[in-house]
Amino acid sequence: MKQFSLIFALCAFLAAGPLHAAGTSASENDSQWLLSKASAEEQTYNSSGRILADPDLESYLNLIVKSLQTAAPQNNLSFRVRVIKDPCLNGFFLPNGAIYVTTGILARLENEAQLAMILAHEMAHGLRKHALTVLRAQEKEQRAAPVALRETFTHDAKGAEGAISPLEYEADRVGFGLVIKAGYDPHEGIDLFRHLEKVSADEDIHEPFMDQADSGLRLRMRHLEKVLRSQGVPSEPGMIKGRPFLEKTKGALLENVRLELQLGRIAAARQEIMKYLRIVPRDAEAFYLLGEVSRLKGDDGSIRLARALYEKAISLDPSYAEPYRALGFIQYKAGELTLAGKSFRWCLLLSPRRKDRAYIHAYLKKCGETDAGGKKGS
Amino acid sequence: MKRLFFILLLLLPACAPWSRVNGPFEDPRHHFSVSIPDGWMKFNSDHHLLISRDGPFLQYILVESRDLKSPFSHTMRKMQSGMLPQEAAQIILDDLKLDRAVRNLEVLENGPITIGRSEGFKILFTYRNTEGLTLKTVYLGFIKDRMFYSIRYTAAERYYFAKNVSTFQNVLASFKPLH
Repeated sequence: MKQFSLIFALCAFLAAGPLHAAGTSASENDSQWLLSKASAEEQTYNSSGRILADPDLESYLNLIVKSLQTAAPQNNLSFRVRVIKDPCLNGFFLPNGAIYVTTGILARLENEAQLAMILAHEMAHGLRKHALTVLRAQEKEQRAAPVALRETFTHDAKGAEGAISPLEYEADRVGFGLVIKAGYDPHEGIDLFRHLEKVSADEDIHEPFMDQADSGLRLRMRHLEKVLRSQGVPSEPGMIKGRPFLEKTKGALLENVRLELQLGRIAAARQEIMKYLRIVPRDAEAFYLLGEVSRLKGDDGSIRLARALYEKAISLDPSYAEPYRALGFIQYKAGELTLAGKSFRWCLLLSPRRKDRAYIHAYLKKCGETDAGGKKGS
Repeated sequence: MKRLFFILLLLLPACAPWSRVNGPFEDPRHHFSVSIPDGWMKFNSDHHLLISRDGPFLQYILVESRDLKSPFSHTMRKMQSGMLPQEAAQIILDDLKLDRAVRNLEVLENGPITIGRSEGFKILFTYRNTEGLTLKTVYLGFIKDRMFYSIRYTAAERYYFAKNVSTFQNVLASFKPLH
């Protein structure tokens, strides 16, 4: 399983290794090289246009990391978290302290304790200098058999023969310790794996990193259960924090719905909108997106439902242009040109500078509308 | 051994990925005809027609026809007959947005266009590739007879896009779907 793994971050470092300058130790050189590569990678991610602009959510994530770090032994890593607009279930760490989590994984979690487990796992990779360990293994293999460099490295990071890498187990174990010390409910940390396994089965998610989901998630869950048994369950009940988590991550959840729709994962999009509507029950955009889910299904019943959902969205926010456009699509395709013209006209009136306005003007023309100002041509 | 060498020598040009061609290009497998401009090279592929003058990293024109059932690289959404051009354009944009190699995607224009006698779409957009180079693309497409046809021109935004855009207009004017 590739979740919470180093692979994503470290694959980029395969292209060239560090040079060992005279007068400095190999260890210092390796660390500096990793840091400089990580900074370049961080810069690339941050300027990719794929970072979710949600300062409130970022502050929330960084506060959780801070509380986990107080439980960690002395270290000079400055951790910071950002959210990537990506529907995959993923999180990763760069050796300079940058942690990234996807909207996909945030959308599937239930509470702060589960989120803390993911963040703590990524932090543990940094605290235990796993990037350096992988780099050393890579250099060793390079000396032994340079031809097999890439493959060997990949197997080391992923775990040979699809098994979980010892580094992942260690990150789980160390991260789990941080979660407990920070006062979170340890059972939620374990349940995270069960929950993700259920989510992937329910939503029929077949992503590359889920190849070994069945065995991988279960193995890691059992590993943590064993750790908990050996350490003993804390006497005080731990924090779970369901509601604050949902409130803070609702923007990421809605963004992920849009991504699921782009991806064409209709069932997942529907589940996530329903989750969002439990947090914000009267949100016009959520009803519009639920309408999109129905419209994309395409059958007669779903189209009827989509109409009702767009109308609901309009009733909640009459100044919101998107449901008018979507309603116009349905009416236009059904040959209800007068109604379609009216819907498209409202869409343009509410959002005159929209990027797709050339289409809307063309529809209006075909509907017999002469302009967006409401005059009818026929 | 000598015979094998000569056989290999004969096979080499046939296997070369790029070949210099110009004038009308028509291949029943591709379901379209198009005129290739002078000085451009054709990449040999069974799936599409890819031509370039200075190399595909600087500029290329890609012409493609695909069955409506064919999956896209990133989105699981499919084209359907009866779709509005805007809906077809949305699928292309969705696929682009999900491509991790496409960074800072910015749609400059998205509107309807008539290609031959078919109603289609035209999208103009810029993006950065994984090397940090900003590319500009004009992407036109339409659905006809259970097929999705597309013709696109991509070039480095600086210098190359403007340099070859008129050549692309000529290729576009020569483009015809075959039945």
